[in-house]
Amino acid sequence: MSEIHAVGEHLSAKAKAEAGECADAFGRSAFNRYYYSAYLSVRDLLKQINPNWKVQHSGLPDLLEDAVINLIRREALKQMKSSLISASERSRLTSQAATAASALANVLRTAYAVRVISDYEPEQLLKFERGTFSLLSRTDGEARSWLASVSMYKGQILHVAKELALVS
Amino acid sequence: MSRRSWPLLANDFDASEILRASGLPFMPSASFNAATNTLILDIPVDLVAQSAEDGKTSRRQLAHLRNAIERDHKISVLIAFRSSPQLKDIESGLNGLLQRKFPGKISSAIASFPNAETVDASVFLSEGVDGALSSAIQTFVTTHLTEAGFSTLSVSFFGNEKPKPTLVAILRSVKLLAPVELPDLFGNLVARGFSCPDERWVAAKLDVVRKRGLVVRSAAGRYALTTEGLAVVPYSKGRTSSDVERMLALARRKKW
Repeated sequence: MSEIHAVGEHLSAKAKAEAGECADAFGRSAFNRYYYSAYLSVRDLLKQINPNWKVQHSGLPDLLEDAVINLIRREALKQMKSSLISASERSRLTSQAATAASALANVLRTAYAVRVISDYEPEQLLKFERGTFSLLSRTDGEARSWLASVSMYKGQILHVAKELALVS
Repeated sequence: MSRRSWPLLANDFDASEILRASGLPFMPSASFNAATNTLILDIPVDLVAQSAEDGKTSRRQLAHLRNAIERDHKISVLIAFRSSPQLKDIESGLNGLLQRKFPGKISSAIASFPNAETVDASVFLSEGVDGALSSAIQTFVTTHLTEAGFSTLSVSFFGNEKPKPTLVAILRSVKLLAPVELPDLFGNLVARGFSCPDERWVAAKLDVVRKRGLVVRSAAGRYALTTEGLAVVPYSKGRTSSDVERMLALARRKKW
């Protein structure tokens, strides 16, 4: 994943150094690589929690907000009923997971929307200004931070899953 | 002293592009503390003026930048004002004293000098520093900086907190290693990234689940799950399933 992200950074630098159609092509590819580095990181999260979850790219945010959260809520409720965690612990864990999953889903929605335009709508050109470029008002810098954001929220979800012993 | 020596929770964070696009009239040096998800910006205090002009920035512009980065990138930003080399030496001295006085308890300390009389210290704690120890560290830092002649000072702490294992997390480790003795169980919990004060703390938790009939303890002091205990540990079909982990642990076991 980090290699794909590094490729994105390289393409981004090329886009800024080039001009015209080449710059646009390099920039579009950078957005694509940034999206995939984030996507693969989320896919790894899902595999850790439940390898049977299979989903299309566009459905990933909904899966995070539905299936992942429901699994965590279900397990937390079960453990509370078994008196393994308190009601306040259950509330803390489900709230933490729901907040992180929702934020993660939003990052993925944005990243996916940019990646789709980048890959399939070549007539929609990148905007180059002030030393950077953007698509759908999303700058190269923001796209570069998708992976960092995803890693942070993924860590928070895994943290909760670990406390509930869903993962090791 | 490295600020990157803590275990990474999130990916490293490269702020160079954000700072280039920030509108600041100069490029501050930046470092990222991944354990606390904090970006530290070093701002030369002589480049801070009442208003942002003539190659200088303002406190307002810095506050705006910090808010924007925190909002857009979901990280904390610590602005450290840098001044003369002598003041920089005070930060180095503080780090050295803390390492000597509290070995292994401090990751690093940052001293920010908004003006010649004021210092804002930020102490990044290592894992397992409790409230009593952090109070002792605060007293030590305050005394040291007061003796150094600062009339106004503040001390902030950034913790590297790992969660204490829940009962079910302890049961999962028992399932993995059973029959397991306390030291091995303690080691496994620590290796899984949990914070356990000591073995006695784990033993007390095991007592709780033993009394509920989830764990049994043999005469030799080894713990194992009961059927009821086995039923409450989550499992799935994946590689991280507790069942799969247990099978792999048994396959690797050299001594029975």
